[in-house]
Amino acid sequence: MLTVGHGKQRYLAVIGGAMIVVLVLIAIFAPWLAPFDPLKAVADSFGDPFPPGGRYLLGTDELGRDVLSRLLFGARISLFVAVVATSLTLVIGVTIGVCSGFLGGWIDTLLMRCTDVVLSFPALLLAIALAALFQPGLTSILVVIALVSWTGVARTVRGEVLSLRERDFVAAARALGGTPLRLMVRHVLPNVLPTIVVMGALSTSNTVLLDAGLSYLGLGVPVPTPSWGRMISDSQTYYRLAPWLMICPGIAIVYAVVAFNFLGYGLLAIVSGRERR
Amino acid sequence: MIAMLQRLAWSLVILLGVTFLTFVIAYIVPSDPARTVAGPKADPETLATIRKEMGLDQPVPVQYARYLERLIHGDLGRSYLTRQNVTQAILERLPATAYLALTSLGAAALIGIVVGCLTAVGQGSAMDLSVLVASLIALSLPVFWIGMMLLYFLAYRARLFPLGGFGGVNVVLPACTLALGGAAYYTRLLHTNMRAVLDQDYIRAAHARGLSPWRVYGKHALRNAIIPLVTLLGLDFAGLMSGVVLTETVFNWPGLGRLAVEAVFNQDIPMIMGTVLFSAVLVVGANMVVDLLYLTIDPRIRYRGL
Repeated sequence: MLTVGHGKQRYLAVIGGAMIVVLVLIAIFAPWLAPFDPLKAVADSFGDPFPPGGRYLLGTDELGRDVLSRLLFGARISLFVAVVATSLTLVIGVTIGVCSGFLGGWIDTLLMRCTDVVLSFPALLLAIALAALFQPGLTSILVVIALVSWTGVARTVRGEVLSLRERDFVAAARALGGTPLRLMVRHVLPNVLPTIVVMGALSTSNTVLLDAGLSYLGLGVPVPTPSWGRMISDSQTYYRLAPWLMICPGIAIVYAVVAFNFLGYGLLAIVSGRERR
Repeated sequence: MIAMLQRLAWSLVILLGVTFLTFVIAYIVPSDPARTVAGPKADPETLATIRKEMGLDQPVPVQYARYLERLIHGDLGRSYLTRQNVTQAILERLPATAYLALTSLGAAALIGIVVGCLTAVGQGSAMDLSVLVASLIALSLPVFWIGMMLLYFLAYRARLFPLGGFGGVNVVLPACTLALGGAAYYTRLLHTNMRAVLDQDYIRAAHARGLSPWRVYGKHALRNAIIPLVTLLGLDFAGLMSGVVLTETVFNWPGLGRLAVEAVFNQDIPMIMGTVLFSAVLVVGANMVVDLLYLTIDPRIRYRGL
């Protein structure tokens, strides 16, 4: 892992964390914050988007809907996909990583070879292929994202477990007659937790980007309230006439990804700093 | 030499795994693979013919063996939409993707090396943090969004570049779009490596011998700091291909990524699976070439083996 400027890097966690709190609050209070209904045409003139300013703070889209309200509601679906897909990613990645690192032998070889095989596929292309085969829907997008992004987590966790396995407390627990399952869950897993938290934050930023990419290609979540990625995708025909339709949701995505990246790298500095001492 | 042969064998194992995974996705996951190949509008007779052609009445291991046999002969099937040979379609689109990907990879590496070195020479933890923050923000930008922003501001508003088209100067905007993430990543990596190398005794010795700073940084330090970059150039090939898909879609670039996206819109399964398998093979190949290169650049590795 790349770590530079340890001392100050940890403040990134605070900044990222604060940005995420704001995002969560926006998602929760979207119905109260949004000035208009995100799904209904509110502008007087139909078909001619209003530029930002005045009554419509961030303008309206080609169907006369308020962009700000759509962005605020979009935070809900984007955050939901990010959190659930990342949780699935972590479940797969941690299970494979812990089993591989702790059990060793042929299980380790087999699991790591599988990881290498999945890593050989460009994530977005594999996701496209899977999304094209599954029935379109919220669940399939979440599963597809998890199926293509668990590899990094599995590798990192395995590396961590490999060194933990040799430590005295594991040997002690084993000597007391702990079964492999109990050793993994009760003794190894809690010690990998800091790494899992860091990986969770970093995977979330990847998940948001992957979800945005899939939505841009028209393979995103088919819900009435659009995700930010789909708003950009929808703006493609109009962006020369109405650039705010592309710029605003883009900034929202960047905000979310930067927040999780800051949190992840800040936590990484804290975790690796603690180990050093 | 032995290390190189081991590396080749390893690549073959991974390739076998890659074909198995695409086989599972195309043949096992769908309830009726014949229908996914023939398309939703196919009549029962066609379906029956295709089932027989694909050998779906055979047991799964036999099916996989046949699938492998077809792959070895370069047969990825036919597009059910245009009846075009998938391998041929991919080879037609390959030069455009190679042109775009290699241009942007070169640009990313060049920017990463230059900026990474410059920021490392000007030492200080404030600089370290700025490099980290700047690269994190650059890595947080969605590829397709950068492309659309560049198109809008530089091509449409400022009229500095053409809005669309292929070849020549048209490559500048897509290549910049694709290169940004890599450039940010390589900058941070080279910066970190360079800072570590500059603390070493042999650098101090080089300074003490009265060598010009240009020579110390450019030759002694850079050579050691750059080695990990070579592996990364290969490791990142999968990520690059993901970026290629989005960039080609934004700029309507007639490459592999565009082919895959078009295939998805047409639900053209043989074409989708063909492009996915082909790009995975490209990634395995690129990783192998990079590792072999690495063995040549850094002789220490030879004795350790892989």
